[in-house]
Amino acid sequence: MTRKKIDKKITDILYRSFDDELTAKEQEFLANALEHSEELRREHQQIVAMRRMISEKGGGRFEPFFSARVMQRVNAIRKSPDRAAEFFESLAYMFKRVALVGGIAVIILFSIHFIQKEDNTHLASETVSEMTLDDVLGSAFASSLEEIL
Amino acid sequence: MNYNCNFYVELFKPGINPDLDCLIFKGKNRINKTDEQLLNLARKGDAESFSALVKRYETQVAATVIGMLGHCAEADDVGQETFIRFYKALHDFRGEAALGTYLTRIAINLSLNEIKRRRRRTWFFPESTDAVHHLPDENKPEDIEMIKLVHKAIGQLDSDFRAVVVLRLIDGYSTRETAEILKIPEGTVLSRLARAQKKMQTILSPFMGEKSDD
Repeated sequence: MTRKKIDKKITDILYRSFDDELTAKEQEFLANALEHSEELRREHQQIVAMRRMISEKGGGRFEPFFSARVMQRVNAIRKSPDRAAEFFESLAYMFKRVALVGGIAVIILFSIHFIQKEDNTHLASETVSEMTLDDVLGSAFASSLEEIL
Repeated sequence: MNYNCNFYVELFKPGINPDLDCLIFKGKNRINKTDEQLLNLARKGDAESFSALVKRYETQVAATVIGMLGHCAEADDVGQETFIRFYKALHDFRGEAALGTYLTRIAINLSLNEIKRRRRRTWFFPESTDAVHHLPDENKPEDIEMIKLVHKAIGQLDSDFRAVVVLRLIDGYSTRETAEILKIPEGTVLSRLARAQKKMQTILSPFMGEKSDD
């Protein structure tokens, strides 16, 4: 292994030692390297300091009354109903009305149909009773039939 | 009318004002409640319980959002939006993850969206800066410089690297938790962390000399 490769390996293990569990072999390797290299010790200290600085100064807090601002928006949502729910509700309401009107229309159509049917049957029976043999068979045929008889 | 201090002491004594006692009792009661209890009450429409949850997790969400975006007006908007999304999904939250982790996931995703939006905005309007600093007045001047410096260092990272640094170093999640929140392998978290730290070192190292000894 070349010097450059060894350095890279040590640096990788050094960075990884902060965020991952090292194997016993890796721990020994790193401890040995830190003991013998001033530069590596300096780098280790720098990483420690940098991580501390980021953790202490990297975050922050919201401006005062943050929760009040959130609750203001929450209350606005609570007051105005959900648009999607509103849409489906109106759709269901509309469907009920359409179904009701459709049902009534079907009943009316059936009623008309039956009334008309009854009228036609009645008319037909009346018409049949009033019909003579001449109407059914034709006058010429009826007279010739009478003659034969 | 001038009231001396004793007047207020008397006024806030238990038993003097039943309405006030009731309010104080309710407030204390909510503080003592667990997340699950507050969630159940919030689901039933108790706004005060939801407010208690916001107060409980405000600091955690702020750390994530400000870590990602810096101290700017958008950070406050993203923070609010995080809780609004949570409010809308109250009935869907089954508690598979801890509430803090769930909120952090929302905050990270919204922050990543905001970074994308910023990038588009900078493309159309090159003058606009990455993060306008609105630091709270309570900070000391030397702290303000340090905070700006840290945010500058984080700000130069790509959004994916930034998310790893914020979750691991600022929020204090473990490598495994960071991987779970971002839905990436642990190995990727480790490699991104190492590369991000090397990059940030170039900006921060000149200012770490005196700090490294403690």
